[in-house]
Amino acid sequence: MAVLKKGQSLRSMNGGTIVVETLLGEGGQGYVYKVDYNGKPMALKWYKADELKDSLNWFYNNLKNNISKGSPNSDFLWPVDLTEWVDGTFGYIMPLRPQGYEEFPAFLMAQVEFEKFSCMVDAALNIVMGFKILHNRGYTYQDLNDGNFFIDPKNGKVLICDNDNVAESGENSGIVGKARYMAPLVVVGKKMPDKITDRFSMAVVLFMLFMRNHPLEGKAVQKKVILTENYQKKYYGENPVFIADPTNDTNGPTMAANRNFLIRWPLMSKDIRDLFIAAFSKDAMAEKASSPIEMVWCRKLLQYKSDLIYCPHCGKQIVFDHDKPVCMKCKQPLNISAYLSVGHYMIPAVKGSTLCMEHLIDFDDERYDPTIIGEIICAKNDSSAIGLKNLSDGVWQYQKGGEYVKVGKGEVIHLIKGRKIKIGSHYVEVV
Amino acid sequence: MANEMMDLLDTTEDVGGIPRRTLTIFFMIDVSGSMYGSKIGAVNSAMEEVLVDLQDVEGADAEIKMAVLTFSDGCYWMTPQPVNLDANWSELKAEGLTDFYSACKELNDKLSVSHGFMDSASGCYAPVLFLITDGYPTDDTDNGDNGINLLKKNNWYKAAIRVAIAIGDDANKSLCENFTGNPETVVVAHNSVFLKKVIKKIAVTSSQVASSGRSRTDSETTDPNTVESTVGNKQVGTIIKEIPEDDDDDFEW
Repeated sequence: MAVLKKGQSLRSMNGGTIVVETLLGEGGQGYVYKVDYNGKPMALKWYKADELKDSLNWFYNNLKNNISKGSPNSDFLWPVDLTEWVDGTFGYIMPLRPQGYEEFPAFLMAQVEFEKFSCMVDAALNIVMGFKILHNRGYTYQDLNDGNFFIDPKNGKVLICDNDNVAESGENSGIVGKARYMAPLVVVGKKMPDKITDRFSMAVVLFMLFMRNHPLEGKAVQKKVILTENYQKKYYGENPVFIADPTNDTNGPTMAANRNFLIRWPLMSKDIRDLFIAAFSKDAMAEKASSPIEMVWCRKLLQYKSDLIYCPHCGKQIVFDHDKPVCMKCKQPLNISAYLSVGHYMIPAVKGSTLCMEHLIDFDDERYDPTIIGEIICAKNDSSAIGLKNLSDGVWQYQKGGEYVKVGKGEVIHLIKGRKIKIGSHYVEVV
Repeated sequence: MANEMMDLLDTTEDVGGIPRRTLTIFFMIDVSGSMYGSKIGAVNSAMEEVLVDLQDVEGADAEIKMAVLTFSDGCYWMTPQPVNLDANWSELKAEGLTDFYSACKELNDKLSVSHGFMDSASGCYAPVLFLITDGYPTDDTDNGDNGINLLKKNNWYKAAIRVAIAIGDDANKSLCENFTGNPETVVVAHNSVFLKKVIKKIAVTSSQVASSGRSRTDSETTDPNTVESTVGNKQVGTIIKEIPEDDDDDFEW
C-alpha cells in the first residue's frame, strides 16, 4: 500500500518542492520513492507512521540535526532535506543510488559477483572506513545490517544508506536492530546500540561478505530446525558461539550448511582470521574484552590485499603467507627477493604487486584511497631484476651514490635492498 | 615461467548463495458456498498480488514459500508441497460445506519435519498461519474447538505467527480468535475492497515480522520455557490494530 501518489507534491523544510514520481521499494520502516526535488532527481524515504509511532518525532529531530551537520562524505546517501508532516508522518530527501551499485544481499545470494577477489577486499575496506568516519565524528550507526550498503562489483566502492538511525553518541531511536546482526548484549536487552555494538554488527557484515555464511550459524544452530524467539535469544544473545572459535567447537561448521565458509576461510590471511576470532570471541561478545577497532581492521585488510600476489610459478593469484612462503595452489616455494616496507605494510615485491595511495596515507584521511601509484615489474632482459614503476603524477626520489635521483611518471626504480624511496613526505624502503 | 595470471576468484571453488532459512506462510482458506461471489473474488485477486508483494520481503535472511489449504467439503492442498513465490495462482471456486476440523487435522499433519512441510536443510523460521473464513464449521463446534485443540499440541503451531480474517457482518470472530489465540491478530472484513487490502497487508506484515525480526526496545521478554512467538504475534497485532477501516466504498454483504 503506497501512501504517496504519483504526481503528489510536498513542501520541504528548506522551502523546496518535492514531486513524487515512482515507488522504488518498501522496507520495514517506510517506502522509498524517486522524486523530483527542486528539479533534481532524488530519493524520498517516507515513514510508515504505524510502524514507528513514538519514534517518529525522534527521527524528525535526529534527521534535522544530521542534515544541518552534513554528510561525512559522498560515500553516504545522507539526508539533505525533510518534508512537511502529512497525516502524522513525514519523509526525508537523499541522493539516489547511482548506476552500477548493487544491493548487498544480491552478493550474499550469489546473484552478483565481484569482478576480482581484490574488489571484495576493497569493499570490506570501504565498509570499515565508513564506520571509522562515523565513529570518529561521534556518531553511532545503531541499526547496521545487510540492507545498509550498495556495492559496485567492479571496484568494491560502497555507498552507505539508511542513515536516519545514525545518531550522536548516547542518542537512541528505540530501534535496536535486525536479528542476526544485533550484538548479543543488545539481543538480551542488556544495552542499547552504541559504537561497540556497531563493531559487532560490522564484523558480522564483513564475515558474511567474505564467507557467505553467518558467523554464529554452525552445527548447534542448524540442529534447531525451527528458530523461535527463544532459540534466537539463546544463539544470538545468551550463548553465541563463533563457528570458528578455536576454544569451543560446539557450534563448528558442517559441510551441509557451511560449505561457503569452508572454502573461503582458508583464503583469509592469518591476521584476518585472528581479527574475526577476536571479534567473535566469547569475551568480546560479552564486552569483557575489546573487539578490534576500525583502524586495526583497515590496516590488516590493506596488508591482506597486498598479500594477494600472483605466483611466479603457476601464475595463479594466491594469498602470500609471510610465515610460510609456499604457493597455496602449486605448493612450490616462493622466493621473495625483496619487500617494500612502508608504514605498517610489508608488500611482497613480485611482478604485478602494487603500491597504492593508502599505503602512504595509512587511513589518516576521510576516505580509503586505493589509487595505484606504483607497480612492480621485471626487467625485460632479466626477470630476476625487479623494479618499481612510478604510475603517479608526482616525482619520486631515491639516493644513489650520494646523489638524489628523480623518478618521474613511467620511470622505474631498480629495487635493491636498503634503497629508500621518497614519495612526497613518505618513505618506502626496500627490505 | 608464469602462465596466464588468474584471479583467486577464478581458481577457487565457487561459493553459492548464503544458506537461507525457509519461511512458510500457510494460507488456510474457506471456500465453502457462502464465500461465493465477491468474497472469493477478492481473495483470488489479493492472493495474486500477495505472491508478487512477498517477493520484496524475501532477502538474504529468508526464502519464502507458500502453502495453500482450502476447505469446504473436506479439505484440499492446492500446493502438494510449499511453492516458491514465482508460482501461478489458480483461481479458487467456492462451493460446499465448511469442514474446518478436517482442515485443522490436515494442517496439523503437515506442520512436521519428518512427514510434513517443515523439512529444510538450513532450517525454518516459525511459520505464518493465516486463516481466512466467513463461516461456522460444519464438522466441528462453532468455535472449532476440536480442530484447534489438535493444533494446540503442535509445536510449530505454538511457535507460529497466527493471523486470521473473519469475513462478513455475521463473521465468526470467535472461531478466528480461538485459532490465533489472540484477538489482536484477528481482523473483521465487511467488504471485498477492504478484504483484499487486508489480506495483502497481513500477509506481508506477518512475513516481515516472522523473517526479519526487527526489534524495538519495548519487546517483552518471553517465558524461556515456551516456544510461543509472543513478541512476534504482539508485533503483528500492533500493526494490524493500526490498519484503518476503509469506508470509501459501499460494498455490503
